[in-house]
Amino acid sequence: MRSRLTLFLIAAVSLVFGLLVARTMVDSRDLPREMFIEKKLRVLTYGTFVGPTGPGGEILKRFEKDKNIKIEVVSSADAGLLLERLKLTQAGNPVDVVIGLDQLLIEEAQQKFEWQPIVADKSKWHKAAAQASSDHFVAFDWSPLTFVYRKSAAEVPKTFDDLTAPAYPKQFALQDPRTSTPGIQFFHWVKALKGAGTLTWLEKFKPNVNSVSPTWAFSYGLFKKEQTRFVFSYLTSLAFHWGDEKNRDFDVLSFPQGHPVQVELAAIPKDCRECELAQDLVRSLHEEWAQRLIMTKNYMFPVIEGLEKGSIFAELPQLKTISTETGKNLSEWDKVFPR
Amino acid sequence: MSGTKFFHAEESSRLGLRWALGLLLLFPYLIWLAEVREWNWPPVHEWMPYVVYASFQALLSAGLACVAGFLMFQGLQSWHRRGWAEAALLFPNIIPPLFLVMALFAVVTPWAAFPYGLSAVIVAHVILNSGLVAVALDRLLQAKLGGMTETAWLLGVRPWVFWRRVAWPQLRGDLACIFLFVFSLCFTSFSIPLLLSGERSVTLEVAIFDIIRTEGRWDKAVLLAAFQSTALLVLAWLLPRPFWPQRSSRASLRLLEQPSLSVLVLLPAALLVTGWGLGVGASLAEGIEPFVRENLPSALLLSAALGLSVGVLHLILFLAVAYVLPHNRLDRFLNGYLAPSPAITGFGLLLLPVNGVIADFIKLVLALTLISFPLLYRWIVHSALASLQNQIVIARSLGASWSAILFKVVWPQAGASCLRACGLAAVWACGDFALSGLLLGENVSVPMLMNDLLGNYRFEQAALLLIPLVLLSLAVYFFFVRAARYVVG
Repeated sequence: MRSRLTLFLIAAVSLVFGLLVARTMVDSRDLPREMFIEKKLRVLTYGTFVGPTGPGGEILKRFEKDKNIKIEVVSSADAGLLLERLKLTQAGNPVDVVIGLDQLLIEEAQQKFEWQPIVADKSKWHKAAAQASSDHFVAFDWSPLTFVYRKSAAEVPKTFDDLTAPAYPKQFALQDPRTSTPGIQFFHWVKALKGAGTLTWLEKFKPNVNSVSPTWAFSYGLFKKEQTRFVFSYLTSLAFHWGDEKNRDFDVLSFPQGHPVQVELAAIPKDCRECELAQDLVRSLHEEWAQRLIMTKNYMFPVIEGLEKGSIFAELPQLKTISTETGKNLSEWDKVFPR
Repeated sequence: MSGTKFFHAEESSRLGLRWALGLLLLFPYLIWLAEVREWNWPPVHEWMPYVVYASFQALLSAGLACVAGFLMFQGLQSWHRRGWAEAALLFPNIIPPLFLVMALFAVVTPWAAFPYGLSAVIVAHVILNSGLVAVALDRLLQAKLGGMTETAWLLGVRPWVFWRRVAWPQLRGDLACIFLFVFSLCFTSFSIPLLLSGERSVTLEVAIFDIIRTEGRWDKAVLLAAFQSTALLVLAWLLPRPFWPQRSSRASLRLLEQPSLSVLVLLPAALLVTGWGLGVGASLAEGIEPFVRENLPSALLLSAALGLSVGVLHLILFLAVAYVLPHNRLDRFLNGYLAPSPAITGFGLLLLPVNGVIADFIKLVLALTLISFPLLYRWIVHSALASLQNQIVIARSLGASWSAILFKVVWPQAGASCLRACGLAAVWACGDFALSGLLLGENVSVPMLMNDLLGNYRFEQAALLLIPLVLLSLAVYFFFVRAARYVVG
């Protein structure tokens, strides 16, 4: 009995190691010998940026090859948890670059951490991306946010206040600002346009809300399953439907009052160890090939003007954009959509 | 070494192992105790509404699951292929909760708007747990009232008279234990309330996640998690009986059968399979995109390694527990303790000063084990070990060493249950999203690949990956169950 058990344990552990070795072999089958070297850059980013569908994997691999270094990716489950992850990481083995912060996190990032200045030439950048960048945080992609819908004969809201009209009961899918970045963007959009009337506007809008999902993916899934007519998302979501799916049945709401903008940023913590390489990596995000990759894989606008030409991004409608507040004070939201 | 010295050494190693086991399970809390410098208990108004609402939700969920389970139990008695019927009943409970949510959406949404809110959470919890209640009831009646049921049937006693006069007075305590177990599962549920409750969260677990995310206050989050674990531990200490008795020789419970309810047995599993069928069916026409096909082998290997590692670690821990028991306090601790939330466990392990691909993998295996081990011990292994207590005492009084007792008495009888529990742990690990996203770095398991596709508009592709994931989960489960036949003999 004991020997069989011991044998089983040995066999199971060997199988685990075998699987891991096999996986390493599968992953590294095309890598040159130079890849197995020592110098290491630690990059903190969110899961989907470096996942198989995101642009990060290819960008980092190319950087590794060009610089003859090894990159270790530290990932957080999603972008909203990057700063929490950074807080825990910096206590032990600090990271050199953070990729995927957004303008809503900057205030907190500045309060809690110290950052290295980054030199970037923003002269050819889109205005929204340049405005969101600073000496310490530089944009690498961006998109206005709005409601995406399927075209039909039915009327759609023409102005921001039309969203509260009784003609659209339970037709809007939102994200919860407590767990989702687009959710916070929506809340700050309302605040920017309604100011002191935010609470009243949200109360009026509530009957038109179909669902408040914990993540963007979940709410967009509902929209794709035709559970809801409108979903709060990126203008660039259209690039996926029009370009990849070749489906022009989708469109976005455009309001004269303006739309919020999501800008993704990179930054270098003050206590980086490979600071020069970190600067190079951030700069590489702005190279033309990387920007094109981000555009096609992240479905976001490039920060450099003109790169959209000839692509589906050039065909997207132009939305008026506005700047919104940042921060996580959600008191009005909590009153209308309490936990 | 003389006999006395050997016995002393064995006792010392058992004592050390008991402490090590307890400390290992409390490890996430210990890390946070060392990490957090300032502790501030959150004001009552911030957390009490969650406790009240979570209790209300869990009471309703557990109550309805018990009622549905009772009906299914009566239907189960008409089934001749009992093994398959039990597998169908337990199916929703052994799959990762996210699969249940996806299947529910696929079933409901073609016909109606999904009814978010408390009712949706309760329905999901009832589907999840009613089969478990039915099988637990079956085992309980077989073990405790099997003979009496046969006698009552021969005497022509009506079923409801049997339930009222015989079963209820004798099984009250055991039924309370079943209720408490389901209550604990619903009270600490995370994915289902997060996804289905709409704008209103219904558990403390979700509140803990919110606190971490919006405030970054780890002291508050850890204190709330400790409060939750302690409250459930205290409740479990009030009702310390095993609710999942070992299956003894089967008695006929024909007196209690209700053939008209037999179809209920298949209902939860059929609902899930239909949901998956609907979800995957629509995607099959599209086929798997090349870049998904390219990443799938690596993801499958990682998921398989993860599942097997978690199963093996569970096996080692179950062996350790089997070696150090019987021990009343440890047994009661293991039977009542529930791990802190995935976020606290996952981020806690991130604080350990070792990094790298292998270290991250080991941390993930450890985190998944810390979360599922107490639950599986309580559900499956506890009763298997508890039923051997008398044999252990006799063997010990006859002079057997603890290691001889472990390998000659305990393991041959409890090994199959332990390995079945290891199989379930492996299945849960294969389907894990939450901790993998936190701890795996750039490595991608199958659920992470699905998550990645969901985040990139490719919902149909993500749905397709359910097929390899389910097949992989079945493979790792049967690996451990088959191993049980070989190891236990």
